[in-house]
Amino acid sequence: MSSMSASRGGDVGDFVGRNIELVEHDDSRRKRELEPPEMVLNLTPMIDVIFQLLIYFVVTASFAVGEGVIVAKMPEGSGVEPSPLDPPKTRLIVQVNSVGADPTGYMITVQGRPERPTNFRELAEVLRQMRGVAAKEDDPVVIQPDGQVRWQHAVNAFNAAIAARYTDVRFGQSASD
Amino acid sequence: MAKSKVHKRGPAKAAMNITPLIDVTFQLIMFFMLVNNIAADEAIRLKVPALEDPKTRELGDVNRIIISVTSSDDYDDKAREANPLAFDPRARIISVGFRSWDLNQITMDDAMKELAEILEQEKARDPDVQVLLRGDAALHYQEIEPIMATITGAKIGTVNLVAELPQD
Repeated sequence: MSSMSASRGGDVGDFVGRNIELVEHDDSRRKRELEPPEMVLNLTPMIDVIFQLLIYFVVTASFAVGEGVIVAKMPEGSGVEPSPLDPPKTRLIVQVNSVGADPTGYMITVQGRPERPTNFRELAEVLRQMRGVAAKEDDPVVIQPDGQVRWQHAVNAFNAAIAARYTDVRFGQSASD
Repeated sequence: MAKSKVHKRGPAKAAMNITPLIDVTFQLIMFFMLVNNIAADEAIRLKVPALEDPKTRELGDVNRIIISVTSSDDYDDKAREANPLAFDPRARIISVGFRSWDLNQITMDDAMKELAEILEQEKARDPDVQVLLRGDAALHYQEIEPIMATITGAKIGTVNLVAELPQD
């Protein structure tokens, strides 16, 4: 290191007064020839690939929630007539009514039950309790929303009956319009 | 042996530069993903019902007809996420595949007649066809009832109600 600085001093001395930038240039070129090349990690391809990955995931990420299906029977009365040979079954009728003041509110009534479930988890619980006591699991459960009930609540009531493990759940024609 | 101009100490090594290969591969993957997304976006945008304790499942690989019903064709993600029910409860757009009806221009009865024709044709072509009903969560039940009646009228006894999948 000390010899380096000595030689640099000499060089600077030679060129002093002419062009100081030329001196600097000459110095660095000589230094490059003398020292082994530095090991440099070339990051460019890695950054390229990372950006590709980033764009790929941003583009493919779907922010929408996945959609699934519940299999439903169609409204009664317009569908295929039941065979007269089938023994009559007790029907569980679940009414979902809209509430006047709140356009998004609802009221659930299970026919023959005094309690009013306040949400669909409670409805599923009531239906689960009825299964094996007042009803069998293959008894038809008829969801009867009124016309003004939001589709979300109608499907939720349907889902509650499925959650309570009833096998024959269907929509009834709307109770009132 | 000729010395490399870059590496003064020895000959140039034969190395395979796989960077362009990776670049091109990712480009291809992106291309195909984009093409797939375009196909998925054929379904019109709406907010399907969010369920309490959902029992929905994914439908397997079957021939399906997707019927979408919504009140509006301008869809605002953020507003919908914030309050899915605070929207017009009347159906306006009904769409099946590439066919769609605007109920401002056609009556519900006429739209249902055309829908019934489509369903009967599809049913004749494939008796096991599945019908998926994607209704917007905010719609009134009475708006969707005639569509369900039409599906039944086409002798399709079951319909798949589309709702959100359980979040694991």
